[in-house]
Amino acid sequence: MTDIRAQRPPYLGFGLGLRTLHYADVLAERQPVDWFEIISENYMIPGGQPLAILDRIRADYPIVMHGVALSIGSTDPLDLDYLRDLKALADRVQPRWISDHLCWTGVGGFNMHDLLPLPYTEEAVAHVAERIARVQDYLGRRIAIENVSSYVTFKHSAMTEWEFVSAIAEKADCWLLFDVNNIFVSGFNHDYDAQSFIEGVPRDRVVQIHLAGHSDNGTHIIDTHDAPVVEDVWSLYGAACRHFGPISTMIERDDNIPPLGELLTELDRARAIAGAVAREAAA
Amino acid sequence: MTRLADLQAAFQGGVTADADAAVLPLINGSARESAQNLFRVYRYAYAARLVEVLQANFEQTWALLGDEGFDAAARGYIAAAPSRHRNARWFGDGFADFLYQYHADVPAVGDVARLDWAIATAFDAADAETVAVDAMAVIHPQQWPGLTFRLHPSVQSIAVTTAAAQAYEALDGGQPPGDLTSGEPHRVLVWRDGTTVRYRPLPSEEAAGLAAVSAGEPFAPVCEAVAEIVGQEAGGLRAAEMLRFWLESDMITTLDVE
Repeated sequence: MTDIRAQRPPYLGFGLGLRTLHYADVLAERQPVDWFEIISENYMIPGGQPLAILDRIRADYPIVMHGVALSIGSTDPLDLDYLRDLKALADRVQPRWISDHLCWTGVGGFNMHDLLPLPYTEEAVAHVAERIARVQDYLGRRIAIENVSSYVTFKHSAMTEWEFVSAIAEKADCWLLFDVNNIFVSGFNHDYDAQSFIEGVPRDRVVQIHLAGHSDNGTHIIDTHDAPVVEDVWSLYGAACRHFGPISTMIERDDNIPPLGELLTELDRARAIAGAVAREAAA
Repeated sequence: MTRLADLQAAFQGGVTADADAAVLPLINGSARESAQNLFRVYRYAYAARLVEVLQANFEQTWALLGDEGFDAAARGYIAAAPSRHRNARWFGDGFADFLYQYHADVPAVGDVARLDWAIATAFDAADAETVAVDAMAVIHPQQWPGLTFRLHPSVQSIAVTTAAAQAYEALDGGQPPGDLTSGEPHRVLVWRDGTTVRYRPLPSEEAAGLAAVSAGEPFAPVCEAVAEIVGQEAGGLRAAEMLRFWLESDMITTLDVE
């Protein structure tokens, strides 16, 4: 049996999503950030300043590419033009890994530009796993797939979300990007225990952790990425660290973006939690 | 169709067309919220996200129309032209044309949107090495008529019918746009000079010369196009002045003699 754990990309430490608002700070001086994640599509453009700035930043920091438009779960054919552009960007950036979401974004040639949920069925497992395998063949590397936040589930789902994620990861032989906030959001919205999710996925396939803030609407929580990480999500992060061991971790902020310093303070919190868990484990 | 394909078609119909009758029987509500209200999170987010995408690429159109006016126009566009783009960056490519219809009584709105889009696309247009102005000095007089040059990928000549560049500049400076009914049909040059996107109204002879260059014509026909407007005597000199300015502005990527 292959030792999948040994094949994982190297641990990168603590990173942030690269945002235009922080370009000047990042270019001005070395920041206490171990790596940056870029939204792939923001740089899947012909040229100009964004790519020039990215070239400079990638010279100083490891980069991970995170896509939002692969639409791996769609029943439309794979978009080969998109894959070509993604591969071209990867050739330029040389990312440590490439990720996208376990979702679909549209059918019939349309795109809703949202991370839409899939039913947890054998049909969907087979469909998605086969597509991930084709994408991996095309890119010549394993990709990481991220669990998404969702607001509805489907009546004909026949397994839990973590069983679904796990079945796809094993069948497609891909990595996992474990979003702790998303399991908190979806756990609340669909009344499942987030700890079961942590324990339910193949931990040797987890290569990255996302942390983010959300909006609590009372009856449901929406994954807005516009606020600091909440206490409950920090607690779950500690649980994830205990279960997975050291995993490259980053904070995502996509809206209401604060000065870099505020995100660095949040990142220090992640470092402190992961550090405390590591010391517990060593004791 | 497979069951998954049916589900996705029903889901998409519910999100984009507010026709949730097909999808609601397929989804669960929660202990605290109905399936319909939970599904509406997707419907709401769909339009809100695309309005934001348009706001990011049409800043001065947004300033011109105000929050409510822009929101209404953007939602009209989202309904009329649902995205077929994989990358949301390109979703706005039909918005200016839509606005010429939507605000048919105020063509300046479509004009400003056309400039917004041109400026956004110049910003991330492909990179290309540009030719320095010194290159002109080494061209032998006999070589000038056959001289060919290529424009930088960011260069665009945008057709407008109003004084849109002035309105755009005022809006960009946080000022009122001025008289939206003034102006004649003309063209506005948009290009990227280094990393800075610039724009200016084009005199008609420069627009004609630029059109000839875009069509791949060598210098002699470019001069003729300019001369048709400024007269035979002035045509050559004016065209040479324009070429010097284009070179100084980082607009030319190749200068070849036959």
